Amino acid sequence: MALTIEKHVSDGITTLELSGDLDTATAGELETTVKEIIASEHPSIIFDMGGISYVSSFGLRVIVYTSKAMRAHNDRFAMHSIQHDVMEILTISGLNRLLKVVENQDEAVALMR
Amino acid sequence: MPAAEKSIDNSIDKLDELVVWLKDWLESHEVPKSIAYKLRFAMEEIATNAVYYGFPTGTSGTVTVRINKDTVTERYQLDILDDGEAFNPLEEAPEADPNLEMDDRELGGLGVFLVKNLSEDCHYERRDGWNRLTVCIEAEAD
Repeated sequence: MALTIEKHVSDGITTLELSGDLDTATAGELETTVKEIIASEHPSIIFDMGGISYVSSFGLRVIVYTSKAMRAHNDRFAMHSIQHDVMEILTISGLNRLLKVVENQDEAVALMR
Repeated sequence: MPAAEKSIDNSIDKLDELVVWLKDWLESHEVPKSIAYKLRFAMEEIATNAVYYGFPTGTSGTVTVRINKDTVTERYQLDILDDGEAFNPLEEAPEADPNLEMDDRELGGLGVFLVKNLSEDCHYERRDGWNRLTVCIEAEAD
């Protein structure tokens, strides 16, 4: 299953509504999109993970990349609506405690303020 | 249930064929979603590493994946074989540490660690010029 990335910009926050598989074949597309956003003046990024049913280790790599890159921008990066199996991967990796993981878009937006 | 098997050339472009084949098998055998996730993750991780790093530049080779459900132990057994250079990812891949802070982390390196943690058992052997990594995952969801 391919990855679909829908980009929404509101109040200076870029939300990427993701669906499909974040795997070896598709992780590069997300990395390219993230790099374009980070090149903008005041980047803030939210990943809406609701439609993502699978994340491979290549997918995790892009998530770690985004988090590290956003350290230079006041950590304005959050993720929400993560499915159970994907959350298990984040938890075993110890990434759930390092990332801003919340329930929904409103909570993610609140973290950007 | 007979074992199913799929082979590809050691080409990055071919990896997707393995994923499509495995997903079809998992769906047609009605494997529960969370178990299917683990099997796919393990297959993709080990096969991807083999294709990316397992062969000297410019050499051709083969990656073969087998899947079977052992009706006695009630486990799925996934074998990933390649005829590249001898490499035991369980011992030789860099050890990941889930307790590291973000600043101390590499971008990658979590794959083999996760395969070990998602499976009940995994082991490696080198025989007749082939690497074989076997991953066993319980057929019942937690």
